[in-house]
This record gives sequence, structure tokens and C-alpha cells, in this order.
Amino acid sequence: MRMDRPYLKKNRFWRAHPWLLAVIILSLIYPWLSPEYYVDLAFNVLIYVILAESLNIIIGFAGLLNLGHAAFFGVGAYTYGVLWRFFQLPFFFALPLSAVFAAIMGLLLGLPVLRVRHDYIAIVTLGFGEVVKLILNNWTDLTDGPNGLYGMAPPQLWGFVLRSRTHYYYLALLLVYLILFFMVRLGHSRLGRAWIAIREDEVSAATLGIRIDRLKLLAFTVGAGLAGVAGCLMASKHRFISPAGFGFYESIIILCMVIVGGIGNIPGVVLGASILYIIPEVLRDFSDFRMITVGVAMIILMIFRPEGILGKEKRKMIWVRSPYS
Amino acid sequence: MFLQQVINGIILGFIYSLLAMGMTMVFGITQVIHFSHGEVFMIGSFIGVGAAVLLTETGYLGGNIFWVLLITMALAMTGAALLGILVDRTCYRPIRQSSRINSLVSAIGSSIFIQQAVILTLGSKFRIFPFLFPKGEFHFLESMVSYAQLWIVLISLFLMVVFSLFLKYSRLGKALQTVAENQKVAGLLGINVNKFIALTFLIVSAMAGAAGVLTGSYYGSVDFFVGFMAGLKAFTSMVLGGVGNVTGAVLGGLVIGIAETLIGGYISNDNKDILVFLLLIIILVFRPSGLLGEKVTEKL
Repeated sequence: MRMDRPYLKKNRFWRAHPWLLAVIILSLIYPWLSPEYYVDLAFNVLIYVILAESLNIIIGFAGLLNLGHAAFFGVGAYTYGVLWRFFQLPFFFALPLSAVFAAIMGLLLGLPVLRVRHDYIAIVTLGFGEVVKLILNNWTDLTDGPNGLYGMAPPQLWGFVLRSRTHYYYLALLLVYLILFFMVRLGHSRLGRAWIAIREDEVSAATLGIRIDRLKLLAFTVGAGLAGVAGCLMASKHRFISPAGFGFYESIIILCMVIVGGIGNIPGVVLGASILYIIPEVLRDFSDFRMITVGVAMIILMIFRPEGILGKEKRKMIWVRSPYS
Repeated sequence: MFLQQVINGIILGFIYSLLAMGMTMVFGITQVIHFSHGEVFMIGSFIGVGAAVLLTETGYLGGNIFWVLLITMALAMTGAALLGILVDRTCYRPIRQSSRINSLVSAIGSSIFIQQAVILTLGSKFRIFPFLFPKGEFHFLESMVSYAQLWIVLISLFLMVVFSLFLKYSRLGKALQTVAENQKVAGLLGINVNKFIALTFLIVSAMAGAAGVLTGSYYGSVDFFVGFMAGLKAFTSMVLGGVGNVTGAVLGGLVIGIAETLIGGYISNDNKDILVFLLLIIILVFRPSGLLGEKVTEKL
């Protein structure tokens, strides 16, 4: 890839992407620029950026519609919550475990999804999301049910306690940039291109020797693992989790973030997540009207920018059939 | 006891079927997952509450329950039908040419919009729906069937049969099938595709409105959230029966309804939704295109 794009040489990269440099600098100095409350808001935006990007791997790269993504978010959060409740496991030990456990759930969901096609994937993932939420709600011995879990201690790293909003903001920012870098590289890698081949045409991909089943499972595993990271981070910051935050509605909002940003478009999805999180927050003063505004915005956006805010012109997904086929 | 549960399940199943039929029709014709169908159902319910309360409290029809039910249903069906056409015109028609996932987002947007509009105008508290069916019950093989249940089944069956006959034998119904088969060719044959899609929305939304009145009156209360779960279950029934297959949708609705009541009655009421969805996943794994879905061979 690098050969045919000489501008990617180290010193010219930033000149070719001035906006990227601006965003990075702005995000680094952001806590000094804004009041405390907005640092909190920015942290939540970062959580949703991770969630939307992790869903982007499943939908955007591999082309598998997932209507139950919040389940992985919930599994990640509850892995930390439950481990804290019973073993007082510190955050930095729980973080990888959350990712691994959510990834295992992704693998479990991937197995039935391999058997079904097109629209049925939507219903299987939707059902899975509901099942996970209800299990979190009803397995009171483990999760304390609708009361939720709370009181997780702040993360500690070699004696340094991450206590303030700004600390959390930087931790999330670090994770977001790692994940974004990982995703961009993934998109150009052998694996990423194989996923895109599956998305565009499954049969041709198989003919080219791509192991479809294995790669689909991998997409679910990786996407779910990243969502688990977001869940663990969220649980640690808010110090409170309850099953209500991981339902179908949450999945739909995450899905809408991906679609609003443009499926498969990495910077677009970051923007989509920011917009869909920030609109309701800005409208907090008109709290009665904020969800209705989101609804209207979704419809208008789909009419006027069907490929997402930063979407490329043409993007075909494997489960999409033209009405004139 | 078992039979009693099955009967209760059938009532629930018929309600799901009415909704799933509509969703599957819309899907067959426009390839849109009509997510706000549950919301249309909810609006039908609310119009029903308004009409029924007005008619029973003013005593305008001398308390004749039959006429009250009839007029309530007519009003709810009309209102729901208008809403359905409006949703199609504003949310689906402008993006008919773009991909299916765009219309899904638009549909979710319209669903959020309608739900929030109801909260803003009518509040989020539930309303009590007057009981509009004849009171009393009869015994049938050691189980009790109330007249209300009988009425629900009869009205639903009537609507379904009329709808199927319309689809199969009338001129309009045949044209509708042509549109579902191939929109471009239908357009070339002189069928106004957009008008026929609007007609589809009119019919299915009217059925959803009827379902709204029936459920509202049977369970006795309505709130802004009833549409969401009903829509989800209807979607599930549609997929279970085989997408685009009207008979399959009816069967799927009945299966989901009966499974839900049986699981709720015998295993665990709290965990019934878990088991319903697990059952669904298992069925889909072994019958990947639904119960009555045709086996689609992969096109090369």
C-alpha cells in the first residue's frame, strides 16, 4: 500500500492531513479549554467513539448487521463490576479481562450468525442483545439485578490514582487513539481487505480463498472485545452500572452513530458518535424535546446524506438488495 | 390449565400476527423494515382510548357496546392509516432508491419521533382503556374462554381473511403483488408504484390500528411504550415465519404468542423473554429462512 502513496512518507504525512493534526492537538489541550462539566461530556463522547468504532468493525468491515451491540458493552462493564464486587479486582487487571470476556461473548454470538443470512442476522443479534440484558437484570446473585453495581475504586497505576475527570479523559483519549490507529492499519491490512471482500461479495471472496466463517467470527470477536473495553472504562468512571443502560435502545443509538457517520468510514464514525451524543446533551435545557430532535435529525440525514456525513459516494453492503433487483 | 394457557397465547398471537402481517407486506414490497409499525399500533390504541372514553362517558350511543366498539375501531383504523401513509411519504419515499440500512435508520428515527411526540402531547402516564367487549365467558374443554377473547379472534380472523382475499383476487391486490415482484416492470405496465406502496401502508396501518384497539381494550391500559415491545415481537414473528410471507407471518405470530404465554406460565414469568428469544435463535439456526420461508439459493 505504501509504495503507491509516496505522500505517506513520515514528514509529509501531517502536511497532507492538517485537520487530523488540528484535531489531535485540540483533543490534547481540551481539558484546559473547557469547564469541568464538559470534560465529563467529552469522556462520554470518547466512550461512544470506541463503541461506534467497534461496531464499525462488524458492520463496516465485515458487513454483518448487529442490532445487539450494547450487550458487549454491558458484558464488559459487568465483568469489571462483578469482579470488583467479589474480588475487589483493580481496574487495570479487569480491563483486559473485560475485553476477553466480551470477545468470548462475541464469538458465541458469531456462531449462530454464521448459519443465518441477511435480515435474519439482524434478528439473531437483536435477540441476543435482549437475552444478555435480561440475564444481567434477572441473575440477581451475580449482578444484583436492577439495583446495579456501584462503588468501584478509582484505577491506580504504580501508585498514581486516576481520580479526576481530566485523568479519565486522558485515559479514554489514549485508548481511543490506540483503537483508531489499530483500525486504520487494520483497514489496510490483509485481514481488513479480506473482510471488505466478504462484505462486497461473499461468494467471490470464498473463491479467492478467504475463509469466510473464520473471518466473520473474528470480526465479531474483535468488535465485541473493543466494546468490552468501553464498558469497563465506563463502569470505572461512573462507578455505577445497571442493566437499563445496555438495552436495545442503546444498541440502536450506537448503530445510528455508525450509519450517520458513514458505514466503514473511520473518521466519519468518530464524527457521527460525537454528533449523536452531543445533540441531546446540548439540548438538555429543552430536555423534553431532545429525543424528538434526534429522531427528526436521523430522518433528515438519511434523506439528504444517505452515505453518512463523511460518507463516500458509493458503498454497497452485502445484505443490501436493490429494490429493482 | 395447559389448554387455558394455549388459548391465552392464541389471543396474544393473533395480535402479533396482525402486526407481523403488515410488517411483512411492507417488507415484501419496499424492502424496508417498517420499524415504526409498533408506533402506528400505539397511536391506534390512543385514538381508540379517546374515542371509547368519549363514546362511553357521553353515552351518545345509549351504551350500545357493539356500536361503540365498531365506531372506536373505525376511528382508530382511519387515524392509524393516515399516520402510516404519512410515515411512508415523509420517511421512506424520499430514500426509496438508497440502501436498506438507510431506510432502517429512517424508520428508527420515525419511531423515536412518534413515541416522543406522544410523550410531549399526552404525557408518559398510562391511560385506562374502557372494556368494549361483551362481558361473560363460556366453557370449552375445561378451560374458560371469555367473549372478549372470542371477539378478538373473530375480528382478527375477519381482517386477515379479508386482507388475503383482497390480495389474491381483487384487481388492486394483483397489482400490489406485481409491485412486490418487480417494481420496475410494474411501473412499465402502467402501475403507479408510489400510489400502490401508499395503499399498502394504508391497509397495514389500518390493521395495526385495529390491533391497537383490541389489545388496549383487552388488557385495559395504554401507554406510549406499548408499541415498542409489540413492534419488536411483530418483527420477530415476521422473521420467524419467513420474511415477505404473509401466511408465515400469521404462523410466526401465533408461535411467538403461544410460546410466550406457555413459557411465562410454566417456566418463569421473569425470564420468559430470554427464553422466547433463545427459542427464536435456535429455530433460526436450524431453519435459516424462517418457518415457511423458501429456501433461497445463493445467486452467483
